[in-house]
Amino acid sequence: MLILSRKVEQRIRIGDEIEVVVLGIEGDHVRLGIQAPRQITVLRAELLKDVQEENRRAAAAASAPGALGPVLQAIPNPGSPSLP
Amino acid sequence: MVDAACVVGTEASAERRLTVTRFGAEEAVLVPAGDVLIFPEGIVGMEELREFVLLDDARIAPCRWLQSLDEPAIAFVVVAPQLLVPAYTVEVSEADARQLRLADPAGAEVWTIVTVHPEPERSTVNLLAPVIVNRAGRRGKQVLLQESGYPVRYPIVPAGAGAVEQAASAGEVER
Repeated sequence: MLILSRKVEQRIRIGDEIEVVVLGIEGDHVRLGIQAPRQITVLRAELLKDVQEENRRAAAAASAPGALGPVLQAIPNPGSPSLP
Repeated sequence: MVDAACVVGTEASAERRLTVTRFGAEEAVLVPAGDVLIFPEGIVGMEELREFVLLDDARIAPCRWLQSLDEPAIAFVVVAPQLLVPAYTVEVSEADARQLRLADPAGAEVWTIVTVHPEPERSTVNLLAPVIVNRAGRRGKQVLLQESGYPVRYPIVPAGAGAVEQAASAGEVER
């Protein structure tokens, strides 16, 4: 892993198109600005991990949907097989 | 090894045949080729799963199955989020719209994935990462609405509903 020290307002360039700037530091919070082309997805890593894990849980639970009944009852059913 | 999702018939009438397990029993499903949805990036955390189909099932209405064709054992219970959160909105980025081959945002369907928990009141729906489907273009993608504030685990059964029911059945609720 490359480790760089940066001060507020200093920038890091990644490749030709991505730039990261340190906007501010407050206690243990660092605010970063990221400039990247639209097709590059920039995500908080813990968010991605959370969704990955939730997807795995959802897939596992769907194979044994024993408790689905009360859940379905809690969802307002428009009574039509075609949903918006 | 035999591929469970093999192509049968001619090009025009090609159907995918797969065996899935529902409520403990095996069921055969025939999927018309035109119903197959391509997920170019798979599902988050399961990037290898590229083909899905939305299956109706009266037993789980108004939910549906988002069934993997690559891995017949994998299916998600999905629900239209508007049924739970009427004001639910999704902003589809240009890049996502391109990947979905979506010319008109009105042509998109939005589905959210349900996580069924053995305790019903702990079952949730993932509002942060809905699945956008373009049926006409036969494309799908799970998007992360990072700035939306929507939770990954939104409770489906209202808090307290289960508890009140239990208390009522135990005769502990005074009227």
